[in-house]
Amino acid sequence: MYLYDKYDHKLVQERVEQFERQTARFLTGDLTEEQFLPLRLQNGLYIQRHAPMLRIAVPYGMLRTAQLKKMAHICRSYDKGYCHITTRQNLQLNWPSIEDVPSILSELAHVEMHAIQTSGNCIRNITSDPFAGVAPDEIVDSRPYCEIVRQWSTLHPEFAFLPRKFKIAISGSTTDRAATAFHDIGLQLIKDKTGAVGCKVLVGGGLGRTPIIASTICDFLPEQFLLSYLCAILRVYNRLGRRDNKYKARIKILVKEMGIADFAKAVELEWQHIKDSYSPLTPKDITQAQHYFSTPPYQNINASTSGKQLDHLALKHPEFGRWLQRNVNHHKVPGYRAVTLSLKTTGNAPGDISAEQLETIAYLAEHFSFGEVRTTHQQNIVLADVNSSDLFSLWQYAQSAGFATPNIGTLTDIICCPGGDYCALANAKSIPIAEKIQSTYDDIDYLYDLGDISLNISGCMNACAHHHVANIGILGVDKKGKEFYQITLGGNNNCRGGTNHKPAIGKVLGKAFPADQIPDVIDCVLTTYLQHRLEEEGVVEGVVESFLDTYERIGMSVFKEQVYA
Amino acid sequence: MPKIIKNGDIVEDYWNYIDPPEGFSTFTSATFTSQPSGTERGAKGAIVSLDHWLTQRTPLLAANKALGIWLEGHADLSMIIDDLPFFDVIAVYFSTFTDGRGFSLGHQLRERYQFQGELRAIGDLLPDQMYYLHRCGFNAVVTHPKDLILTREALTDFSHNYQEAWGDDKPIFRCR
Repeated sequence: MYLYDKYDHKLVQERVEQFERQTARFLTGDLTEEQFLPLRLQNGLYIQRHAPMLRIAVPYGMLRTAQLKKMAHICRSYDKGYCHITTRQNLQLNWPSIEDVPSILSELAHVEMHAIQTSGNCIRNITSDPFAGVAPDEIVDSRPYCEIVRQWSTLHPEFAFLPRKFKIAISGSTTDRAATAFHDIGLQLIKDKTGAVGCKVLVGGGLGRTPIIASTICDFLPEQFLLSYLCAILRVYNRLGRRDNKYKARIKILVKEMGIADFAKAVELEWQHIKDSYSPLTPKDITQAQHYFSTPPYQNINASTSGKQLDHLALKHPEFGRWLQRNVNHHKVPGYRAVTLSLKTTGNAPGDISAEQLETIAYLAEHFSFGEVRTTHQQNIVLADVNSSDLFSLWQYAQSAGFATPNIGTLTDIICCPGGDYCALANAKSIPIAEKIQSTYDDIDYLYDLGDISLNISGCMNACAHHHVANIGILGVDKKGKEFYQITLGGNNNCRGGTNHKPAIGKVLGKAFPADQIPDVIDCVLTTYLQHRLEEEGVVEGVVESFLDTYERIGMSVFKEQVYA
Repeated sequence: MPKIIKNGDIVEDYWNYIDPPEGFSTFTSATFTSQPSGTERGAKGAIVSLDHWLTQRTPLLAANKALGIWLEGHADLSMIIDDLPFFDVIAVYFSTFTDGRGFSLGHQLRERYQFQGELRAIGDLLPDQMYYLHRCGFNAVVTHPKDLILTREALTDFSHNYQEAWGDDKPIFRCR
């Protein structure tokens, strides 16, 4: 994992001091509210419905035990004893007081954390695959490239006052688990025929009011040109992106209005001018970045013996077996597994995590996964390097701490924004809808029968919970001051739901429903799926057609007829 | 004489503006004029608008006085690329401090078009943007008189940088 040296420490410390001075000027009236706004946003500080909200950066989702413990301490000392994992792998404090923010930032700096550029019209936290470095289908470990881009984008002098926020995601596996097609820039690391590393560059994707799937701007960008090419894209966007209307200011609108061909031409022209003056990344630069993510001291494990032991334990303890099936992923090192701790237990707001839970996770990471964890886009926690002989013991700990709900990838693994309970932008509450669905579908056998399915709930069209790309999306809308919910079907961010699917934006089922009808509507959608899915695919026993496959085969109309019958 | 920040120092400004940006007077105590007043290059000259330059090019050059031009953040540089050698100063106007187009424009003028003269940022700017402006190639900033000292101090907000920028030393990852 990346470790700070004197340069990083100094830079973060200087940033904390700069923000202290800015806050003091604001409090004495030397900076107006309007002037202070972008400064505080670029330090992660929002003013929300009930209190300020501080968003803390977790670069590409990686955290280590000292950081988890510090977060637990901060939750207790400065907040209400818990925090929230966002869909961009960051952490959020929902109740800090504005006077405490400099102290919180200073405490965070001690464990190499900060809130720089977690908000505002700048380049945000780089997100990635939570299984980077351990996934069996990995082509290139994305973490060193994430770190290179993180450093490049941090306090970038040219791109701190962009037309709008800017999000970059990087993936390096055959399955895209970083939703690169729905980012301002998506980088998919690949190798060419000679084995040279580069990336396919996607641009202009995004959700929000205008969901758009990104276009490919470059099929193979050699790795040495990564930073100059990013600079060229950002420069064209900064110069030409719209600033007259904040809803049309994202790069996706510019790419759409110019057309991808003309946009690509403008980028190419800019890039040709800077590609040589901007010194390319050398093999040494890349090796140095890779060095931070070197392989932990794995033990030599006989995979077939350990596999048999697991099978045996799974038979003896069916609950453990279910957990293995849903919450445990294969690992590229024989005998190791990646474990997802579920934060989607009924009665718990999706993504919320208490100080005690943070400490428990720190303990589990220390004992079972070389002291590191990753936050996920789905708002769960991954222990990426677990020896399979430790799985049973880990499961017992996780169970007593409430993290072992075996629902990863199922209907109740809901992505949900804070919604109208916390957020000033929301049109409707989202957490109570999530809770209602989780408590309605707590029968694990029924959940497993439904199989892989994603359900996301956003409280407004800003789409923080990415409802457009869920198989079933729920969007809070305001109708004459009343909360209503619109349903979309068929979205996919290529994370799961079948390997052959392309990224897709869900389509609207029909007119919106009041909150009390949502459980019945969801029930009707699920029943329609169960009635129509193909169950005799034959080749693999027990494999049935997934929700997304069924939807794509039978189409929206069948669901519509049932729901609005 | 109004004071500005140039090359890290607070100095007197010898430039007038002809056809200045609308609202510019709110942000500065600079003087405005209708004719270049200097008598030779290097003496007090005038920073003219792009329109003024395009329409008055011949008489301006014939007068043989020091010249500058001010541009808006969205200016199309292709219109004046061949004229750059005529200008001792290029001023980039920030109509609002949240409009970051000028940062890219400055960088392009320095890096792509090799502009060697004085690059000055004018308009609605916060002292907090000084550090970034400097790294985008601006060696002069016209700021509100009350912000002069704060703006100059902001030049040293950070000791090292993660990325390459104009005229910089090595980025942090090359220092290790």
